[in-house]
Amino acid sequence: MAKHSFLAPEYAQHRAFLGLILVILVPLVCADWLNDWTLFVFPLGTFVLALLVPIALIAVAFTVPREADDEPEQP
Amino acid sequence: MSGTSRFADGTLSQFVAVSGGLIALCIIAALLGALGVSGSALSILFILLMLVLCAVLSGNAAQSVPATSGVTFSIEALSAFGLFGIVGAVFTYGHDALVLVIGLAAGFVLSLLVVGPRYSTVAARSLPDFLGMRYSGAAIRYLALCVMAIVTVLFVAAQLAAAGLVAAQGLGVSSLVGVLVGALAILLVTVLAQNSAMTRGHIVLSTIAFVGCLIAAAWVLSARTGIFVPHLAYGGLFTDISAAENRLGLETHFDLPGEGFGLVAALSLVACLAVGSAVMPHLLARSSAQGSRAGTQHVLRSGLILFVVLATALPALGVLARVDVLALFTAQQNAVPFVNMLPSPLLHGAQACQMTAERMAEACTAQGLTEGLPLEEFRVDPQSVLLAVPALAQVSGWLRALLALVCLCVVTVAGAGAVRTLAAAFTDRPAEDDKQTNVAVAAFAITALAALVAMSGASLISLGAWAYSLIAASFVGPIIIGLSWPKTNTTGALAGLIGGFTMTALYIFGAQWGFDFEGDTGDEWLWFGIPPMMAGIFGIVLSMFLTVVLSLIGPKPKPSQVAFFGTRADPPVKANPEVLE
Repeated sequence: MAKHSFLAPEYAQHRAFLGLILVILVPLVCADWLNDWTLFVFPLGTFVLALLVPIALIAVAFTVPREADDEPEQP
Repeated sequence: MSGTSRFADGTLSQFVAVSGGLIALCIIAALLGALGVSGSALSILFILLMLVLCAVLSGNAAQSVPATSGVTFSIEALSAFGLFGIVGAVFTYGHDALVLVIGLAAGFVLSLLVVGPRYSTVAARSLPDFLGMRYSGAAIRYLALCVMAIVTVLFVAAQLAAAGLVAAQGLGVSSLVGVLVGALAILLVTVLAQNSAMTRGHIVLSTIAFVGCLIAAAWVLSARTGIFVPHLAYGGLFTDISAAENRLGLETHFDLPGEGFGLVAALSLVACLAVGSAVMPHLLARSSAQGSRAGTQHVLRSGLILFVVLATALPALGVLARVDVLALFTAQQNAVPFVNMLPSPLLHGAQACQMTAERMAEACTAQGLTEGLPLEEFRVDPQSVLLAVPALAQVSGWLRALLALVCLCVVTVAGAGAVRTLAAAFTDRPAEDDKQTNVAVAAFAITALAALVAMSGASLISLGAWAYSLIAASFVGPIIIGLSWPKTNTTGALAGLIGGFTMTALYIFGAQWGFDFEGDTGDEWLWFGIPPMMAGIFGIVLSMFLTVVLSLIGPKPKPSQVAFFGTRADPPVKANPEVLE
């Protein structure tokens, strides 16, 4: 993997942030924009689309790099 | 904390025990209902039981492991605003209202990415304390505390307004009784918990709310569709809705996007809720109670999964209510009998929008309609829909009682979390016994103020949405940008906080009442078609702009402030005693 590739581990946080924005924007904009087309104009289709977004958000949450366990901080 | 031992502390057995107890309680209530005990009597029994649980269990500190915190976190993130708002908005606005679920869920991911893990490792005792460490000067601490106080009072008022609705529309008693019961439960949990972030009371109430909500949704939906999983029960209902819409000759379609809020307003609402829930002080405190980055990530991930399971089931109730109301419309002969067919909560909701029986009849007469009231003329307050679902679906009284219990548990868990966080921020001292009195006094004052706001008659959905808008617009600059961009300086953060809050507050005021201080007179603002519920979007944009521009042209932040942006392996930043003083 190239050192400065966007797929490099140091950009995992950036990829997750981009994923968050795309996962929200793309389905909502598509649902509205394609409404005049035939893709989403069937009962249930747009609802399924919008309900899939929270599930996609769970997937995005698991792409965020995991932190190592550290000792709990006493306040 | 190792991933393999996540449930080895008895978390799963606690969850199963509470769920089993709740199911047994429902069976007993169903038997009592069959013996003739009314739904209202069962509701009162359930609520008294909840108050006893609050009093007995809130004094017992529990281990704050990610799994238990995840359940509580998901209920605190849902709150009465989400519970009543998702069902009511889906009923009223159809497809577009699903952005409420998306926005609240996105807040978990945003917190996971930017705020939560970093907040947990800084030895800050409150959000103002955290900002005092990130930026120099005391001004930002005091301003943040003011914003936090206003937002928390609005948020808790929304919870208490929900308790009032349960009393007025679910039990038929004065809403004041509900507000007082809600306030009592919140104070019991807050004061008895003392310095514990997590008690057995939190765990039991959160589990009851979570499981009870799923039981109610599954029971109502399965009785109608035969499908026990509410998330999968939409299909048949949409066919019913489409058929009813065609019979009524409607031009709008419930299941299509853009018919409710519209795309711009929908995206604005997502932004307000996502940023708002990422920086909401009591959610930040809950997610970071583990004191480690890994623990915070566990809480946020488990909370997100549980939240999505719960929040994606709730729209099914709104869709079902829509089917039943459309059925009433297609069956009506004229307006007055139609009003008589409405269940009590929905009638209250209609009256809240000045839809009295006389007005409906007048609307029919004025339009020369002999076949009853057209659907377009019917207005109902969205917050009334949830409590109307059992009556509309004609299910047993025990389900009404269960729904009342769920609502009160959500109100208590979310309200107590918010009150405790603000009370701790006001007292802002290390945990000592003699300071506990101060926390109790502060909690009592906050709850009393919120109760007064709740009794003003404002909609709980509006109160909740304003709280999210105000907190998002105020803290997007100082926290979201401030933790993502090391060059953010104190001037930029202060300007972002003041500008975002002022802009949002002005728009809420202008769009809700206008400057004649009276609603619905025609002078209200409506920029880009965005209603006051999404007012935060203007504040968010202004706050981001001010923070970035003033940080670019202003002085560079001090090295100690930039230390917040160390690598992942860096040790946690310690509180600066001078700043704290």
